[in-house]
Amino acid sequence: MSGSVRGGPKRATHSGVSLEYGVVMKLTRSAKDGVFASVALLPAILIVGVCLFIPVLRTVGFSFLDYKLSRRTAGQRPLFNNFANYTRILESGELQSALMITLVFVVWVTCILLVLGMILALALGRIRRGGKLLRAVAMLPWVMPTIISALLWSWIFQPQYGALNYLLKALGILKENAAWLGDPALALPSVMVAAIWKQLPFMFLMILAGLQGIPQELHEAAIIDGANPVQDFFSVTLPGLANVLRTTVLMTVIMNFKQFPLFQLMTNGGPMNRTTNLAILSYRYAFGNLDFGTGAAVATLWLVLLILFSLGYGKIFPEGDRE
Amino acid sequence: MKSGTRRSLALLLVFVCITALAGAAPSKIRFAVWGLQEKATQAYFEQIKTGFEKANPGISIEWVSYPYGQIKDQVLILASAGETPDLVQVDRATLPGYADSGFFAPVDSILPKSYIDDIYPDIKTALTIGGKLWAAPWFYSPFILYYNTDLFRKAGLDPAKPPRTYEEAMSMAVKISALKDRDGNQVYGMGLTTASVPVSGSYLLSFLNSFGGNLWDASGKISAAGPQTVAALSYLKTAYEKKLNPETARLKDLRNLFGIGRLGMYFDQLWGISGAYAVNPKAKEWTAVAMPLAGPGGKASSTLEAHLLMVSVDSKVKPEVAKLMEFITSAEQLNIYQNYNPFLVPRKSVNSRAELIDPFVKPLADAATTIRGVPSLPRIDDQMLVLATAAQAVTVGKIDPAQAALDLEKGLKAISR
Repeated sequence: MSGSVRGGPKRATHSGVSLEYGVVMKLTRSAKDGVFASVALLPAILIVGVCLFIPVLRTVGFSFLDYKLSRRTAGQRPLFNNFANYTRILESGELQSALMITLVFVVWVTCILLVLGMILALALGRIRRGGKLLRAVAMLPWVMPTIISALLWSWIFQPQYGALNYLLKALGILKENAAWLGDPALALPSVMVAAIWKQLPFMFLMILAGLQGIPQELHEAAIIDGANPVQDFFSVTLPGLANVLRTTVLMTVIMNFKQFPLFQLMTNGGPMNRTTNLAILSYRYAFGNLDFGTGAAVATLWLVLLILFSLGYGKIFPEGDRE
Repeated sequence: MKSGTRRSLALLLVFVCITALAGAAPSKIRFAVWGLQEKATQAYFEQIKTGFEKANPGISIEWVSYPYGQIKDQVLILASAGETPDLVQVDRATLPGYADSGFFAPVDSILPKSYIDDIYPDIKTALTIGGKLWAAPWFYSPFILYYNTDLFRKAGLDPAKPPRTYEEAMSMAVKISALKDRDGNQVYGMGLTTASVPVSGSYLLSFLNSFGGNLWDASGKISAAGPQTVAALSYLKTAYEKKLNPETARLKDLRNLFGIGRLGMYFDQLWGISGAYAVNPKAKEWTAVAMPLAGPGGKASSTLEAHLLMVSVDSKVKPEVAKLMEFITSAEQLNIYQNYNPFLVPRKSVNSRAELIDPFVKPLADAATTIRGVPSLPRIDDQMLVLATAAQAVTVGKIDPAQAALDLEKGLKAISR
């Protein structure tokens, strides 16, 4: 806390803090602002602390304990089990497999979303008549609950009576039904399709907002300087979108890194565990087997990876100059 | 009267009033169920409360209602908070986890001996862990065979003679699979669930048992790569290659396909057929039922699929809970439930009652003899998923059955470590 100190009689003032031996510390304006901001933020910090940090810390703690949900352990202190939860998931190979599936899913979904979101934003952003209506309609998948999206896509992908096989066979593209969610090679891409459909409006809307924030004069100046549309895109549009893309991509990565409902409802980790991501693995341990210690170990490693990614991402793509 | 005597009398009066009030207070049974959340059985559960409270003045039921998919977790969360419901509706797969949790009490000390002795021995064995009976069976079913009599006729098969073995079923399925529905869509001969859900694993364990195989030896050690397992997996592979069985289907998919007349035979719990009827009420006209099938070298076997009743170890109203359990599983109540779902009765005396002899389930008179217990293992759900994975490996994964059996054993051992 910065402030000026002077000697004088002991007294309480509105703008000062009374100290022992009659010393009064007068706060500067910025220090007062700091105190006010801290007090104003305190409720939010307390709520976030109680609702977020404490559960996270407890989860990390559980990951080192033999913690199973049972009456015998209720009220007892669970015992440290010498990292057995971690060795179990690493030795079984389940963690490595789930991590690989999670990474493949995140990378593909994010890249495809980025490309499609950009194309859609560039195309729909230019439409003058009916543009607002189109943009509103495009938001529908985003506002739909993820559980409903998962059920909807499960029906579309159903191999024997699903709409997709019917359509592809009617168009002559498929001769036989494809088991979209049952074939080990197709299951993960099928869940990716559902995720992309669900999240595309978010990506599109963020990029569209970014595009609208780029001054038109910059595009005009580039054209006067002889730039073609491709040069304009790479030299004006893309740099102008840098901050928006940085945030949106980070959010998309995190969103998909923890994707659970689509996987659980569409495949439940199958077939042959080809869609068992970290979220499904953690859920299976914690709620399928009531082994909260091992479930917490998966969640802790998952958290560490996300933190490392976020830090690395921040270093590689530092926030640009807003001006 | 002296003031001391007056004071003593006043205190006595207060004590008597409190005791009388406490005695008059109705006992409340907290009963956790999923049936109240399901439209098809909601009315049945509501009449349980009305009927029981009318027959037992002074005892009331308070529902603790959750959807089927959430009840297991939610009851455990309640239990961890010291709020275990007095009575809980559970399915068989949940029993080992609940028994292991310590939140529930064995029912053989709660229900009368005459009631316990009345339960079919095979069913009682399947619900016994560590020498104690952990749940009262409400109603039960093995994985029985449902078949479509219309498709049987169209395929030139006799609907009065359903298959008795898996080999017969395969040859019948070949004939049924040659049919097309009126829109030209493929008809499947038989449906064996192989999806990535524990209930598919339960069916596959029944299937493996019928081939004489198992996942564990007599001492409970994992032993799953024997020739019976290879034979069972080879059967699944053949059914897949001949396109007789819809691949990686959940029970829900099989019920839908059966309901729309595109599945000749499939294996399900008795009450599962309501899913097919919900898709197409006309399916009742062509639906028939048959006993579980025997595999080569094995006898017809099935895991016990049942709705059970478990009692909280901390319940303060155990005698009242016992009354409610007897009321729910009485012939009168089960007779009412017949209007909602088909099922089998787990108690000998009740099963012999004329009003409970449903002609539809008559072919299943000896079904209780096919029941085989599942070991009480802490990660049984995971073991069932590993078994489902083995079935997927030989079908959509195109892996050799012998290799898949070895992988199955390895996967089970990894879990038990």
